[in-house]
Amino acid sequence: MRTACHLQHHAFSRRDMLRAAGAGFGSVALSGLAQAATETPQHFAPRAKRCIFLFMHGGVSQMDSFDPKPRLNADHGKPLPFDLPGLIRPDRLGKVFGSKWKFDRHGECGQDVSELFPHLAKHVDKMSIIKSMHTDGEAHGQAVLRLHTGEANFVRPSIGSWISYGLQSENDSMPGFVSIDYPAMHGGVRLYGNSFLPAKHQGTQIRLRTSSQKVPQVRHLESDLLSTSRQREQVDLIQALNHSHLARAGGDPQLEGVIDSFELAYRMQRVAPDLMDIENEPQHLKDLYGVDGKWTDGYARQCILARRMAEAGVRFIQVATGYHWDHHGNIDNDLPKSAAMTDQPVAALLADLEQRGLLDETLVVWAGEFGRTPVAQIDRGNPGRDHNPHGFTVFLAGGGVKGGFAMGETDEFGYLAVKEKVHMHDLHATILHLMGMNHEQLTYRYAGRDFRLTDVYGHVVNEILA
Amino acid sequence: MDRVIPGFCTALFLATAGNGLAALSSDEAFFESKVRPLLAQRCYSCHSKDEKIKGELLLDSKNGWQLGGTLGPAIVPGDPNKSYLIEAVRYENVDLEMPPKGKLPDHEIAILEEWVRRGAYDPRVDESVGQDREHIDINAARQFWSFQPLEAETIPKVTNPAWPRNESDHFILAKLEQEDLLPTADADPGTLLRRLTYDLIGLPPTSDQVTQFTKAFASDPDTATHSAVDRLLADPGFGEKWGRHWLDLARYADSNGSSFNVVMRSVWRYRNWVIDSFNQNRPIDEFIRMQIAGDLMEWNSQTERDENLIATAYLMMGSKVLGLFDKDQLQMDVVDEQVDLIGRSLLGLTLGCARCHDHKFDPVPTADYYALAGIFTSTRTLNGRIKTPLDDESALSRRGLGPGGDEALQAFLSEHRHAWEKAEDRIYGRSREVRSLEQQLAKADGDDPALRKELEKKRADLAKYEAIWETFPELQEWVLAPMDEAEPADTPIRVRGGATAYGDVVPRGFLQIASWNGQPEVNPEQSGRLELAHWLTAEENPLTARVFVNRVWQKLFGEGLVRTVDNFGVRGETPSHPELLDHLAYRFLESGWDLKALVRDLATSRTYRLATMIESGPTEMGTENRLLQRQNRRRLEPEEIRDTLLQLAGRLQRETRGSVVDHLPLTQVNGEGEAKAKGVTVTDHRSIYQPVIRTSVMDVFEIFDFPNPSMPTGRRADTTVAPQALYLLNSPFVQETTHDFGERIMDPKFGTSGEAVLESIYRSIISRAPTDDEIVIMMPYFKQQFENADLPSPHDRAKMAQALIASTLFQYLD
Repeated sequence: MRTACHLQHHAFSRRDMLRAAGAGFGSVALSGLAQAATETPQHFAPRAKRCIFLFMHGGVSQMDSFDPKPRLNADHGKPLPFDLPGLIRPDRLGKVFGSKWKFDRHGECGQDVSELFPHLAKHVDKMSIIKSMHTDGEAHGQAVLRLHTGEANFVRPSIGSWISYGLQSENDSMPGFVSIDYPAMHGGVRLYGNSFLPAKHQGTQIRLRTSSQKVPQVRHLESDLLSTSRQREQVDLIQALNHSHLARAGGDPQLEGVIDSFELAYRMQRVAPDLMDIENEPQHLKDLYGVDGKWTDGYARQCILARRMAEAGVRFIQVATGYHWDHHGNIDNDLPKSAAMTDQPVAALLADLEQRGLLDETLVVWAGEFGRTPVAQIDRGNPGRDHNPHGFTVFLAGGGVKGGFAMGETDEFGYLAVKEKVHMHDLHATILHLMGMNHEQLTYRYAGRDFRLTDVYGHVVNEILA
Repeated sequence: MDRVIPGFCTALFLATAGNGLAALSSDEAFFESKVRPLLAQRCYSCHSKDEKIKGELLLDSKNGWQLGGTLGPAIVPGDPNKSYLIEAVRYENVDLEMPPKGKLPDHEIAILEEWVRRGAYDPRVDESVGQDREHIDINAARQFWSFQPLEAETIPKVTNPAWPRNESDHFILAKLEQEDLLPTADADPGTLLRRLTYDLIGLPPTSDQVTQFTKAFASDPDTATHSAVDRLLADPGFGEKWGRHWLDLARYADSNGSSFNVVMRSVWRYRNWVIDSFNQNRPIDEFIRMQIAGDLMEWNSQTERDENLIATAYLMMGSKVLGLFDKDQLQMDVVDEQVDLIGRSLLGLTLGCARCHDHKFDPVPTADYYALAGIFTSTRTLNGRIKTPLDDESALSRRGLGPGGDEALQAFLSEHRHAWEKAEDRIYGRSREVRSLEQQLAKADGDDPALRKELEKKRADLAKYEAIWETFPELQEWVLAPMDEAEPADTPIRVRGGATAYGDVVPRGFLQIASWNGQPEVNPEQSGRLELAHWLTAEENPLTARVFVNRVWQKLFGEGLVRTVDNFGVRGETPSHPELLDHLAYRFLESGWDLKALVRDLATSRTYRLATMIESGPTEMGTENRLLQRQNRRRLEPEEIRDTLLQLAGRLQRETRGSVVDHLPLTQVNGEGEAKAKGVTVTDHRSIYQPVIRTSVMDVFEIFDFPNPSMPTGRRADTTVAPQALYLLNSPFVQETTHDFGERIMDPKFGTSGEAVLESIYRSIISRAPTDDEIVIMMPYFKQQFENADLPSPHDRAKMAQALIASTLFQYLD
């Protein structure tokens, strides 16, 4: 259901979109072989120059956050009047389980937000909320892989790699894709892997919350043995050897590639430490995000780093929470903690981007890998909610999406997405679209076939486009 | 999102059409008043010629739904329950819900049901539908070069008969001469021996080997080269280097990866079997047959039987979504992975494409895919019904080794599996806790009664489970290996790849495009793997030998004669020297699939020995060097980088290594941090013996293009990216090993001046002395930075070594 305050949406149909795309770029097939390194294969004007992808690892309960279901509370303790098809272990599920948290309407649009997210509630007028998400995969591994690569059974490039491949980096001293505190489980490297795309599109890993000193760390960026100036001298020496080799070889693109890689490495060494120095942020901003806060410290630092990377022109910045949203049991105690760990930092990120005039060109996506069940899971002492890939909520904000808008519905228990359903592939198509790329045309030839992020699926969710 | 026709438009349409309805028959009237507008409003945006054609299905004409899309005809007139159009709008099947954005109102579904029940009257005739559908013409497709039978080729004549050293050289030179080109000069002996040693055993030559080879080469280059090649072929490093090439194709790993990353405890036996097979020069046809059907082959000794079983782990190691709840889907995904593996690694075809539809480019109809798939649905890879995701490899079929191995293993598992897993898990966990508590206690000032109490408790628990462990009978050694199902059967086509969308049953068999009279036929009593193995390695099979010799060529010359080494289909590249490829494949068959003979032949050829540079004269247009006027420069692989550094540091252990994961619990292992914590120890053995944990491979592997261990890879990526530079500059491993190297070369024999030490370092690392240019580049820098300008300290030597290692001089083989 669309909320009342945003009735005047544009009648911009899929066909119009294709026609518009056709006028400019026709049948551009973006073959990786044909593409020059500097070419940016945008298919139409981008609405966002970059994307910050906030990954709520574990799966957020939609009915306790953005998708209130009065029926759950009314029927609390009663059996669900239908079976729960498509779940792993129906045997461990019990009765209908009401939400413990109060919902209020917020913003000019009057969007419902639960009391667990008081900070985000202040920013609903910036968001497009999709309450009818669905995906495949009842277990974390499958759903997390699908959220990040569109596929679980086969190894495919991650969405950040596709975007880096499509747009290249805006900053020649930084990679196009960084991945902050990503887990080793549930796919591990595949969540930021380039697969068959060129290796420079792999996400550069940064450890922050998970690093020992809570300082952002890129592998091997700094020398333990040499000062910066000494390292420059060392690089100069190596480059002199490389150039002499190249001259003797009479030219060789491979050797030139190594020479370039040393220059980029050195530029990163020069630029990245400052970029990652979040201690330099003014105190009022640290306070806004919740740096040093009991619950908020970790994600606050990650979100500040994400903003700094966005400012520096990195195209895709993905930021994982800890694996703490998976509330199978004891949801009454644990969900408020998970909410507290992220609510203020994410809200601050939206406010900070807006205040800097960056929100218009930065797409922010907030998503878990799936949602949770309307019935209680009862095998863990205090009840919780089990995995539910068939209906859940995500929101997008900033670059090119409507503010104060909500779409889609789950059934009255919040289990199945029923109206204006949006699949994970549709979300991917939409993110690419907002960044100026047609998901059907962003392809890469591998093993004799043209591959896409969305495989043969995906529709742009036109409803949320501003 | 496809809300194209606003409601009022439909109303208008009905009002206009309504005037004439009275004159129509009731079926016509029903169609025109109810069905046509509904189809137009709800379906045309994705299923009409004027808009989009999703799933190849048209609903804007009778011919459209009669022909149907990828699922077949959409309507069975008179029978709504058999019409997938109706199934789709009813939202009965989660994989087929139409329209995708939301279920139709019940009254609209009722209209469609009524229409179909009444016979689906439809006046919208369009005879042009389907005329553009292509059908695969197998006979025509046989004309494609890679499907042609192999025949003996004539050795081409050359103008300069003094140049070639073997038959391959004739083919290469003849083509160069046709283009008025000359091959470049031979590489100097140091460069050649460095190239040969890395290519054949993955390590650098020693300084002594270089000296001796250079001397021998000066008097007789051919004999010197032959004896160097023979020495290297006999080195155990040959199996370690070439075995790794095969492991790339076999997507070898010690853990499942994917969502349930369980440890695969026994597949190291497969790894070592591959290495041994190459070292023993097992004929490649036998090597292939054992991997496809070893468990069904005859045997003369228990060792042979065990090796037969171990080889079939090839079929087992795919990364599986073990958490998948839908068992049919899981089985078909496993089968698909196996069919695709065989296609890519042995046939050079992307068979996986034909799972859902006829192959778009290659002559592989879906029926052929399911003919092969039936062989693997008749093969047990997964062990029985999977009720819930399992936390260990027991979801996979395991076979016991040794006499009566299967029975002993099954007896052990049925009796003790749970107790065994629990004991292993607890012993493992408690040992770690005990160690950690002991450390804490040692650090604590004085005694800490609480800690001590906790320690005693954990120790007692550990002892308890160790005692339980002692009560188990000896665990049978095992390996992941398949077996035939009790009732092998042909399998139906799965329409559009849906695991339970059954189409026609296809008899088990092989690819029509590579078939011949008298080819093996599937034994109906078995899965058919044995016959598949024989079909793959028959001399009539046009693909297997061509694909294999091309891979060997690619490893020695940088590029294959067909550069798309995993794709010999229509989308692949045609060979640069088709006659040479066929000649090599034909000779390979004649030799009895003798790999060492092939490698010896190619590595002693004149072409192999060429320099990578062209000093003078005309050169081939472009930079691709497809005619091999010179040798290709090659990047070292991460194993070679790591093993060389260990050797320089004096740390490399050349022994083979058995299990790398046996001491882990039987459950999941995730990522490097956890893997380290769980004790996946990286040792100083050669890189091929290090654990391959699918979610997290070693830094040096990941950074230098180790293949993704979940995908069969014939040709590794070849990238130059900043993390490689950072690794060579700042990684602890490079710093430690160059430090050790610096310490190792303090003996006066490595030189007593800066220049002499530099020369020793060059000779150790890149098998030659520095050029004058390089001395001019290096010495002033070091003279300025040395701790000791006259006689470099160990630290100075380490810095010199590291600069050379980080440079292209070390990273590439000229």
